[in-house]
Amino acid sequence: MSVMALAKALGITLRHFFSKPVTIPYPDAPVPLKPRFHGRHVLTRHPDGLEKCIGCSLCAAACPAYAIYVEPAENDPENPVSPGERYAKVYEINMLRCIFCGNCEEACPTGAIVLGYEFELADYRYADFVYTKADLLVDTVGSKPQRREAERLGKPVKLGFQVPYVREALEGVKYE
Amino acid sequence: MVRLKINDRWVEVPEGTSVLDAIFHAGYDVPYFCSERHLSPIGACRMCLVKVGAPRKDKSGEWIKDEDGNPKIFWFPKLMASCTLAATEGMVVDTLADEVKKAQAGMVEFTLLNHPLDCPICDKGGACELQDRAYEYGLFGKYYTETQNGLKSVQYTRFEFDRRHVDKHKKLSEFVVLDRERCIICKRCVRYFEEVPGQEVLDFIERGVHTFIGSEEYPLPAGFSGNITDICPVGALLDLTARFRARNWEFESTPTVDMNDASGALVWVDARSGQIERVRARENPETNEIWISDAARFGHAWAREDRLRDPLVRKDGVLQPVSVEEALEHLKSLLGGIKGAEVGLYLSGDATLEEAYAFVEAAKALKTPHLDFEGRTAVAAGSFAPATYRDLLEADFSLVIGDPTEEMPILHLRLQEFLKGIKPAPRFFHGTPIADLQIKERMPRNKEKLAAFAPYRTAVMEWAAWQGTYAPGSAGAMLAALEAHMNGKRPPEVPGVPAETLRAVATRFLEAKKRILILGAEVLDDPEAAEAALRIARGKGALVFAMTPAAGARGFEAVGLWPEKGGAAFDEAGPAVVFASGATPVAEVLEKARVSMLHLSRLDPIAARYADVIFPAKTFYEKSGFTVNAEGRLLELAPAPVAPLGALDAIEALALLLEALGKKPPVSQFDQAHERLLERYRLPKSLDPFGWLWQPKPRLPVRAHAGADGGLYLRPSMWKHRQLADARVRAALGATRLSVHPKTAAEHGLVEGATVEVETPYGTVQASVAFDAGLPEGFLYLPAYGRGTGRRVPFRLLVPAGGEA
Repeated sequence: MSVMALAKALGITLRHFFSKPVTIPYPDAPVPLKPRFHGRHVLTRHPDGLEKCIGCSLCAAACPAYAIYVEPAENDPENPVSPGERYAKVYEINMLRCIFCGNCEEACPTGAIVLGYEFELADYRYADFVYTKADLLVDTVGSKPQRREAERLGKPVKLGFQVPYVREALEGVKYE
Repeated sequence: MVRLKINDRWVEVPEGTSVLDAIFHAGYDVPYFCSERHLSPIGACRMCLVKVGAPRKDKSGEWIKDEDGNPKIFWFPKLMASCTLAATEGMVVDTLADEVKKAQAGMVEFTLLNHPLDCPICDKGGACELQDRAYEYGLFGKYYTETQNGLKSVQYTRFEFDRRHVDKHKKLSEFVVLDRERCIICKRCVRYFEEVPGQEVLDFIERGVHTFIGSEEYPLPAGFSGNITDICPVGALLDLTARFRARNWEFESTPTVDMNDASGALVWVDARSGQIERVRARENPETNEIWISDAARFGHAWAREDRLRDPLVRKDGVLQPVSVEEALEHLKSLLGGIKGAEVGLYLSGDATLEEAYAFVEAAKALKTPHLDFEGRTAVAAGSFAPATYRDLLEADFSLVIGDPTEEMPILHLRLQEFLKGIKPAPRFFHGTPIADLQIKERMPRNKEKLAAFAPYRTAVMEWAAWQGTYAPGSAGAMLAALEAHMNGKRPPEVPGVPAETLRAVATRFLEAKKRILILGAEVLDDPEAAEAALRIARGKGALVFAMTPAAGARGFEAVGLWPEKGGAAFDEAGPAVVFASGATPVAEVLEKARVSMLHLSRLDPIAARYADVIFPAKTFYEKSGFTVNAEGRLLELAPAPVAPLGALDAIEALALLLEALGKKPPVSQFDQAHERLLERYRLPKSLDPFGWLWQPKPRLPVRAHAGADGGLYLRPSMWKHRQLADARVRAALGATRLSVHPKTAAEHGLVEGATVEVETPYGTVQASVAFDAGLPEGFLYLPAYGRGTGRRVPFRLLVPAGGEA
């Protein structure tokens, strides 16, 4: 081994020592995500505020991991939850079972269930991984543990990612 | 038999078979929407078009030959609807020609033209005939094409144009909803009402694209309306009790038997998340064909709501939930010093044969004479030679004394077939014929084949040439008069029924080659009447349908479940310890007993007031086992996955009682009871899906009911007391009616429309007074709802606060 080779190697080390690091110091800095990233699901709404979900259970039928449970009910015509006769009374996704394949999004006839960007879902208890309608609807920002933490601190939810643009399918979702 | 060629296969079918059935019998497929088993084929949907040809004979009667010497095939000039075309000798059918495929695909597109695209929210989605046929026979090529790399690309979509918009939510009754947009005008529901229950109610209104299904009446006639939701090929007619409860593929479907009545109808019980959501008919060509009654279909909410989950024990006068161990300890402390012979064992009428067997064995072990079941009749149904539904179709005359529509609903439907002269259909490779050419629209009913008598005007009287309403309790006199007419003796007078009618019935009865007697609970409960019927049936050779109030009565009797001499019956006070499974005895029995242990699926007022210990019970939807219907047909129940944790079957509850008494239970589990039952009675291990005839003739003594001569007649009803817990059922049935002749009403000081409380041995019922001049005088009529069906009981009329009488 020559001295020359040793110097060369040291040079490389030195060059990288002074260059800008490629590592993202997550969670202090947000992770840049690609627009088509598959994260936590969002139940979207129509512009008039009605839920897009009609409780048809096709997402549950398409799910390869049996992670989705839907219980439909009939809309009150005076006070509808969704357009038409039927809405999802119960909509649950078990995030431990979910493999984020996106089949539910493919199967949805109304574009109600869309995979979003949130991925920080780690939690302590099994039951906390079952996300209900309240946790999935478009108005909710952050995962269950994030929202719990935010509530404890009295601060807004801090998301650990950034995306160049939000997909069109995620109508009305604001990640901030 | 005729031989015909379907594509490349020669098949042999009985004469009168439709080409559609011949095609299925040959193993080929043809799409159809309007044909349905047990309904008339009418060729309304034009889906089953096929290319058909037939050889012809010349004037000399010889087949016209072609050049090769084979019979020459003359093709029909156009495609033929195979459902309305009878198969003939030498016929040639082509179902695979391009011409046929094009016509079928075109018809699918026409049907889809105005069909809304709301499959995701349609309760029929996944079980829809239109969805399936559209995939199999639709114009697929127009919408998708193969690209070079083998992928299919969408060319057009059916979303492109708007469709006809009409009424989407038309409620036809409390149980059935009609979506007119989805209707494809197949006419199945219209034909069903006219042909099967004989209630002409629905019809097509307007023409062409404006056609819709409508009715003058609201609601649909009660009794059999639910079957239209099964036969609707699309989601136009839907079951409101199961509306939006789940998608079809999410249900866990269990094949079992309906135990609300003794007709032995097979059902599918659809459950989701441990709850019963829907009940559908299951095909059995021998009993219910593909139909069930409304009570069997829509009355299932009681098995879901307000179920008992823990044992209850009375401490300081209040029932408290405890663990099974605690309940058993408490029971032991109550039963100290009680002898086995002081224990009364009572079983509900909808229990299984295994449970009945366990009760008989336990009674033997305890040496107790107190053994009975709810809904037992004074004379055993097993004393009569049982008729099967097949016998009914082959018979020339049937004499009905009772109300089949309410007591054994399936018999009402089979009586229609009997009156129309329809013979049992042959079985094909694919099962029941889909287009049975012997069935036609608006077939005349031969009234000369039926005579009907009852204490009030029943539905079947519409089709009876001879009919009469006798006063409750005079069935015995009437049967004695009939017998006297038959034997040429001097008949006694029967109030309400003219002697000429009875003479004519007796003559017609003797003329007929094959006769059927159909006896209601009232006759079976009246020893005088039942014995007269027995003499007629034996003497003149008639087969009998005994419409017992208990669904399993014939089976219970066969294994010996019958009160012994000196034993107290179900509604008689006597035993110091009362154990009743599945049914609550009358208040008097529980009041006089020292200890009462009940085994119930739901709490009821009498049990809440008097029971000492209550164990949670399984309903018949949750049990395995055998049952025997009124024909003596052994059928198999399967458990739907809906039983609450801790619910016991009667065998387990009985074992707990025997344990508390310090006795070793002879059978303590279902499997044990099942095995011993099979061994003891040499029953087959696995049954044919349509049942197995087991018609033993047990010799059981006549055992009349005490206090069965009051002035309140409990008229039979297909609905049971427990089913009234559901608000939807109550809304459909309306207020309970106390029907009475105006003269009798005046004697009791009753005003039409007034609300009164009627105190009966089975509890107090609120009812509104309805006048009916067609009823015999001297009696008040109240629906029994399964308790004391067909009996005359003592009563008291009370005026509720704020009411008037």
